[in-house]
Amino acid sequence: MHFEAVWAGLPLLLSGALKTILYAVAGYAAGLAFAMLLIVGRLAYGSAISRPTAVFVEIVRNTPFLVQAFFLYFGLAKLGFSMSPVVAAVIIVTFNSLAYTVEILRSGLMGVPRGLIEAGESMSFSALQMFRYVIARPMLRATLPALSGQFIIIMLNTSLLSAIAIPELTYEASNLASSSFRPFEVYVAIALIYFTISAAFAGMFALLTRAVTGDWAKVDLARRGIL
Amino acid sequence: MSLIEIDHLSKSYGAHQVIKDVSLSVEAGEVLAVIGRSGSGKSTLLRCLNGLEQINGGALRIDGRAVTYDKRALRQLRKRVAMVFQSYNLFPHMSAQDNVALAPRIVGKLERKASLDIAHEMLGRVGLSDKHDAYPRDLSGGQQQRVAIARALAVRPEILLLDEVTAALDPELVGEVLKVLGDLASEGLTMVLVTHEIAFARKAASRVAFMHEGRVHEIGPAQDVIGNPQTPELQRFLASVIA
Ligand SMILES: Nc1ncnc2c1ncn2[C@@H]1O[C@H](COP(=O)(O)OP(=O)(O)O)[C@@H](O)[C@H]1O
Ligand SMILES: [Mg+2]
Repeated sequence: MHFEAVWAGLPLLLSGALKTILYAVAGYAAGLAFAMLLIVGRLAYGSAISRPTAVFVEIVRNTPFLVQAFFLYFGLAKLGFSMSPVVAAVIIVTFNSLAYTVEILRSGLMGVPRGLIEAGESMSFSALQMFRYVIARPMLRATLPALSGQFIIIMLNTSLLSAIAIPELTYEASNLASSSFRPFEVYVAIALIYFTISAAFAGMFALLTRAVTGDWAKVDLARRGIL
Repeated sequence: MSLIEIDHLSKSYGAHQVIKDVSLSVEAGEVLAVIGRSGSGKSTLLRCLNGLEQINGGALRIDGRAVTYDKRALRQLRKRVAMVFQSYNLFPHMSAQDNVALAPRIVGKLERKASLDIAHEMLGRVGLSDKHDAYPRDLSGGQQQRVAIARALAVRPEILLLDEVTAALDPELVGEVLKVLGDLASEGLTMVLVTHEIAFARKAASRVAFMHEGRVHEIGPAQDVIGNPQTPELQRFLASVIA
């Protein structure tokens, strides 16, 4: 075993890891925010929103991430829509996050008791008020574990962005592996880094889940304006 | 002109007509109890009254104004006509006072302080001044239903609709809710209540309507309808609920 090459390349790997986290967090946050907007839109406009959403979800979920990346970056360029790899990467991560999280939120919405929504309706809440005051917390409460798992999957999938030359963790690692001729050590090292990132985010989601699912009386996030 | 005028109203779900040519009116300050078998259309009638269901035929007027379904009109309607459900439907993540204060704050656009004042007033009216900070799951069914009544009262409606509000309660908790309803009735609040509590209907309601297969089968002063049923359907129904 010769991990000297890994040590020497560590700054590069860490900067790649930072990019991995940035793409994952930014894309996931944007995707989740759009997903919530779509849920509010569904409440306000029904099938005018939910039908097109379903089509989008099916397309994204039934095609490979890598093929989407190639299509967006290389394919569209041929049609004259060229974009930088960074833009393509952000779009891919956001679209994937959106497609998967909107499905998760939809199942969470189904789990919110019909009576609560009717109570809000009988008091004339708008769709946005319904989401914010009636639905958001029971829905998040039910879906945070799934949202957490989905984040990890999206984060790990960003390794495929190396194929369109995004300098994230896997991209830096493969460069380092070929320049140092130490692929075994390098890939063991980044596997550990991915694992650490996953574990750290899983832990953060677990804390958040506990805050939201814990005693409503003690942890009133809504009252503090967080949710 | 009556406060509530229901005029040849019909309502269908798909091909299934649930309300068939119902006409009746309710005067301000009156309490109308609606009784009838499960599936006879009682809930649907109530839900039409505050716009949760759109009517298919006939007309519905509140204080002379026809009910329409654009957002603004619905908002106006629901400020005047509030609804309480069988299963309370309190927001589980909010304290009693926040449940009650929510509509005044976000629909009525009051400051938080003013909305809480209303919440405290309404919780007082239903006898729960000591439960401002309690969460629904820490309250008994009867207390939850009283919070739900306070929540409906918080927009200061002219009409309160109550759909079998004691049906989900343990028998020993029914009394406290009926007492609140009795108090509201004697204060002159107009109420339409669907109930299986025949004794209460007889005592607290000014009139009783018996619904059968989507129609108002008998209607009249509570004493008469319950004490002296005219049709075999009502006789059978009363025998089955009183037995
Ligand atoms: N949302 C709905 N969609 C289809 N049918 C419904 C719906 N709500 C009620 N119904 C039907 O309408 C009839 C009357 O229901 P309802 O008004 O709830 O009666 P009640 O309150 O007297 O028990 C029933 O046959 C019921 O199955
Ligand atoms: Mg009913």
